[in-house]
Amino acid sequence: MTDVLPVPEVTGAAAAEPHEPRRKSNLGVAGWLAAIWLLVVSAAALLAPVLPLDDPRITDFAVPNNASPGTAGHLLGTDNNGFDIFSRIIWGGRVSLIVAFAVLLFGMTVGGLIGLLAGFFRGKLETALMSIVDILLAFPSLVLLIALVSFLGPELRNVVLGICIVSIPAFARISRATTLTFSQREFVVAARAAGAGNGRILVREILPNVILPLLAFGLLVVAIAIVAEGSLAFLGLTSTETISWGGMINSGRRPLQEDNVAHVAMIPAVVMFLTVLAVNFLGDRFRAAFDVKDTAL
Amino acid sequence: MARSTNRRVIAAPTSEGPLLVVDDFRTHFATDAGLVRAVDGVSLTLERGKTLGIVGESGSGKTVLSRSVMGLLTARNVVRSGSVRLNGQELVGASPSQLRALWGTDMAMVFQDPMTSLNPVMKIGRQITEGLRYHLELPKDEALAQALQLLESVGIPDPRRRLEQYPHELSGGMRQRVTIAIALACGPHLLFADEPTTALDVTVQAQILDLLQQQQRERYMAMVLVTHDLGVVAGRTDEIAVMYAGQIVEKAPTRTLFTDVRMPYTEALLKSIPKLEEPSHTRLQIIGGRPPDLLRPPSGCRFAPRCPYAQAKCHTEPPPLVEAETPGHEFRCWFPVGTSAGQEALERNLAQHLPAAEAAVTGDSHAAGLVEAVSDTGGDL
Repeated sequence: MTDVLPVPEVTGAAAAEPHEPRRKSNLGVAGWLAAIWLLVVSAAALLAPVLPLDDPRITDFAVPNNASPGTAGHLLGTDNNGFDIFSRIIWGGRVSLIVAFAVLLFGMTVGGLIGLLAGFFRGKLETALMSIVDILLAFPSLVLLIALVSFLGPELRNVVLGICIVSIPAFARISRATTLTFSQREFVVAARAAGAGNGRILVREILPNVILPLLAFGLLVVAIAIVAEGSLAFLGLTSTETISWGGMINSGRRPLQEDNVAHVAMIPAVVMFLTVLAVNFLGDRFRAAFDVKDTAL
Repeated sequence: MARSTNRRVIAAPTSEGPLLVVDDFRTHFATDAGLVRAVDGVSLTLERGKTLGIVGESGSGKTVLSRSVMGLLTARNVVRSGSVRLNGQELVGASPSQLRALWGTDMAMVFQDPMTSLNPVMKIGRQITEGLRYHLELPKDEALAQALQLLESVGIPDPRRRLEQYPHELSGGMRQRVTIAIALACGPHLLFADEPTTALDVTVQAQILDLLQQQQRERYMAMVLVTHDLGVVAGRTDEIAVMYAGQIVEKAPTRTLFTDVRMPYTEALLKSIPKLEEPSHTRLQIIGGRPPDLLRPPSGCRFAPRCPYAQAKCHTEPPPLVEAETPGHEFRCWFPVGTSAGQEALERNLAQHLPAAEAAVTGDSHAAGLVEAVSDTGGDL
């Protein structure tokens, strides 16, 4: 660490302006691996229709069911229906991707907005909004999800909607807490003294400060959301029409129990584990980088 | 907005009468513990183009006064009463939209700490042009040109580059110059400067104060300079109001206040300024005790518990604000400094060995047994 000591440079110009060192890319090797993994998974999932993959819903009768990885034409083998696992992994990634974006778009927007309004206007509005959030939070989320899905039907749309609703309270709380601290800051009073109305202050002064911590936290929620979808699929509560990693793990249960074949359940489990780990890891890094304390000045 | 006609920077004297008239103005905070009387019956007038200094120790209500006059205290528990008229327009009880129309264009504020009064995630340029575009409805390029001119006028080198920078890339003094530029952007008639130099390095303080003074003169703008430092207001104000426990205890033209002090609190403040001619390590004169609890202010004179001149009367009857010989000089005291009544009162207290009186004469806080209560002022001044 020879670059720790600052080079003493006392020319007039340098003394006049405090020069902060450019923030180093603090991802590290693991961070880069995580980012690359996520990039590969998302790109493959996005491009699934155009990639030269086997149809994930067609049984290959040329090889036995539960064919082990490396079998001719099947990189990761086949499952107990004779479907190509590699192809199903990639198509299953689409579900995880949809869940992730839906949570970021819908859960974060709605939750963030609730928190922003509650934290800025306080009073009765805050009491009303936060009690709704607290009620939602008091429900065990998986139980709420199961109830929602069994009531609305097992289609992917309903599953995603349920997961988004369950993610709202967490976003609302983070957003409210951040808004509370920033509303007290002097630049908000300064903006008001310059004649800015509530709307302008919310959008121009507070929102840009709240959005960074919220986004960083959003990645952590995405990880949880992917697991939640997987859990529902594993429990067989989502439509069997949808190819998803959780559903693949579920269908790998029988080979594991009856035929002592592990890879059918193992491969989707590992992929899901790595993906969630990567999202978590990156989310943690971003959270540290955009921590409220860091943006304080 | 209708204000777009109000375009230029020089606030010419448009109508008759003083710019700002504050009359028996009160700001109370309703808390669970009771009513906190942060500002309790303040009256002021400020002419166009003049500078008023408001001086007091921490907790005397000077910041609350300036913010409350502007109407910036939005908490639900704030109770404002009395009257504040800007250009004849009543501000107490004015609707938020009426006030918003005045903020920025008719009155503006420079805040204490430039570290917190700039938005950390917005570029300097945008923070300055925001008001210009919103209040004066300037198109983007004109607003930018104006911002450039403003930055130049507040003495920021290389202003074009600064427009693209974020607050954290500037030093404290630079940031305060930026906040001044923002406050001046729409050419306000009245500028509140709330301890504008407290958070800054001493060497930068003088520069910022000079800048404020220069801008105030060039723009024929009235300025209220709030500070705890008598040295700050000494050469830069036309008039000084000394606040204690939410009230004005002495108000005088600047020169008169320093030569002809009447109120013992002002005298104590003046004495607590370190003097160059004194040998080093001279103990600073302190004001023993601490400011009164604003939930339950003393029934008599609010300074009486700490006052070296205090008599029985002071503890029971609140002194009114009375005129001194010099026009414009008012004070609140039963036994004013520099009069025979005051002298007798001090001697009587000395004869009885009252600690506050002895401390005031010897400057020895230990003798007074007041060490544990070294006041905020002692630390501030």
